[in-house]
Amino acid sequence: MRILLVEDDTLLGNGIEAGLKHSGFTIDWAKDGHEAQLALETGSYELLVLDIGLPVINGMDLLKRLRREGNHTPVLMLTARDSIADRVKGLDAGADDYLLKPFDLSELVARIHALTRRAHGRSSTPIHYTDLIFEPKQYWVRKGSETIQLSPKESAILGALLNHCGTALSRSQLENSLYGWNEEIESNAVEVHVYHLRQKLGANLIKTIRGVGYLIRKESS
Amino acid sequence: MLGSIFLAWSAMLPLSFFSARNEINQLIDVQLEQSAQTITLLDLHKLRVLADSTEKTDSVNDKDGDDDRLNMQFQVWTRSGELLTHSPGSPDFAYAPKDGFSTITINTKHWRTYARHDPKGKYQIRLFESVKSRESLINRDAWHIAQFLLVVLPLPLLLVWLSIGKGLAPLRVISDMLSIRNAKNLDPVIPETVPIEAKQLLDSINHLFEGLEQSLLRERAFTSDAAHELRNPLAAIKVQAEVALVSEDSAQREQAIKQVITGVNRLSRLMHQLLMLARLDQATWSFTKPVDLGNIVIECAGGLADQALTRGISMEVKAQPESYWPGEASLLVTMIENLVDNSIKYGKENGRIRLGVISRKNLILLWVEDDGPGILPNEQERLLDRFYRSDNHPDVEGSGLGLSIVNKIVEIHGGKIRFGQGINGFGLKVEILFEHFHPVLT
Repeated sequence: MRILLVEDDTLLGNGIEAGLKHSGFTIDWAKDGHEAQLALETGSYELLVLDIGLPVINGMDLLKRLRREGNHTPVLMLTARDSIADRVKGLDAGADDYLLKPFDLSELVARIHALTRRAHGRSSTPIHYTDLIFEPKQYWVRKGSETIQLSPKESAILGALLNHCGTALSRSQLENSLYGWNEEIESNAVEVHVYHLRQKLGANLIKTIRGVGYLIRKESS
Repeated sequence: MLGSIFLAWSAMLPLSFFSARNEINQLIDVQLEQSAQTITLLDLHKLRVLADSTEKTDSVNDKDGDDDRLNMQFQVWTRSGELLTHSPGSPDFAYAPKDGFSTITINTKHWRTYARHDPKGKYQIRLFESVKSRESLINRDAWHIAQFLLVVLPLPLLLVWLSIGKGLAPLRVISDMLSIRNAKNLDPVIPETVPIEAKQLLDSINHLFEGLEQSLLRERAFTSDAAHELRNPLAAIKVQAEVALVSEDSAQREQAIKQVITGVNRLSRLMHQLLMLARLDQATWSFTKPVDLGNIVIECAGGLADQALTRGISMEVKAQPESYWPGEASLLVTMIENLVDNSIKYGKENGRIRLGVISRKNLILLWVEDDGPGILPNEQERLLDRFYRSDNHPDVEGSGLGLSIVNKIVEIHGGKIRFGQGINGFGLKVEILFEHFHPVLT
């Protein structure tokens, strides 16, 4: 995959170039807005990693110009400013995602993948989590050699918890993921489904956080 | 100011002149009336004698100046219009039965005349005074009065001006002293004499200087402390990187490099906290929108539960919903996150953390507690100091800024913070109280 990196800082640019190359990407590195424009005119890229604070041509202006010309290449913005106002400005100017400096290289790679996946309209199923493979659209979980069937509601809850892994979800948040089908909300529904999920997938998968809700821990923990 | 006083004074001259003229004119008329009153008491014989003895011309022709007599001429008429007698200088005036004042012109000469009947009503006495003579008299006297005012009035004004000047002199001294004050010189201004009127102002100014000086000192101390605090992690990073460079063992090299990354993360976090503190210090905040603290507590707990579980710590939350308080949600989130983060770091492994919010009519109580080693008994008062690290947790890594940030946010939101014992008497409990004296916003 060809990526255009627009970064004026040599030290940082060097690092990103090397890091992304290591992850299998083909990188072209433009050191200022001017070079970036030339590169975009002559080549085609799947994604742009753009540092907003550029000399010569301002990163934000470059982005706006790009969008005005009808270029829809996904743009990942690198920024040193973390105020909400700055983030909103960037997203409004046409960036698809932003990453605050300093960042983990692994995070950069993950976000690049997420953006290109989005651009290609690919969905992210099946979901992999430790030794589980979860197919939400078909309501099953494969654990090792076993295939476990889930009810649609159980699947919805498991999906919500896995998509937000590392963050506890409250009962009402989980109820929201269940009740898109104009049904009556039973008072104990979530507890009941979690109970069944624990029975099917093991007691350790879903943690209870008293006063908050349920949690599936981040994989790295 | 002097100019306006001069203007007022110079306007006084014509004003006083015309005012005096008016008064004197009225006075002379009154005199005329009174003379008529007296004359009407005389009988006809005496009137004839009076007529004969009256001088024909006015004494104003006298060049000596100060003759205040006005020559009065008169006529005596019967009711049927017959002239009984008259003074030689009286003008050729026909009978006019109506009594009272009027001003007439006869042969180009102006006369002021007053007529009155005798008590029995048998005849009319008419008196005449030459307008020209009157005017001369009036003008002369009015001018004397005006002159007097002209000379005398400035005197008190001058005195007032001099005393104001004298009174203001100390203020000039004070303003001179103030003009040499600046950010580097905020010594109190203490002149030798202070007029009572200026004392309160001066006290306020000196109080302000004191406050400013404290503020500047704190800021300088913070900046230099911050710079020092940044040195440590930077030094650690550099050393680890150099170790990585000289390592012959690839495992050691990898370990050193991992330490470099840890060091960078630590530095990054410190920098983020310093920026937060600077931001909290600089802005002035005013809140109108109520924020649900119950929701925020649940949200924060939800986000940090995983981290707690890494140390085997279980979290319990008791958040009362709809605990509204006016504020800035992002700051309140930061506040609670810092408290929970502390409890996780300083709590005991496989221990517990309890946090929650309760609200009553006029107050909201928010707390976070753990059952770890807590703090030493004498540390409470220093806990909120910037960069303060508890001596009871030598192995825990931290910047010492977390509680400073929490304290600042609590302060901004009008709350109070206090410390106590944690779960079952162990650990630390941090309580934040928001109290209003108005009905709670919903």
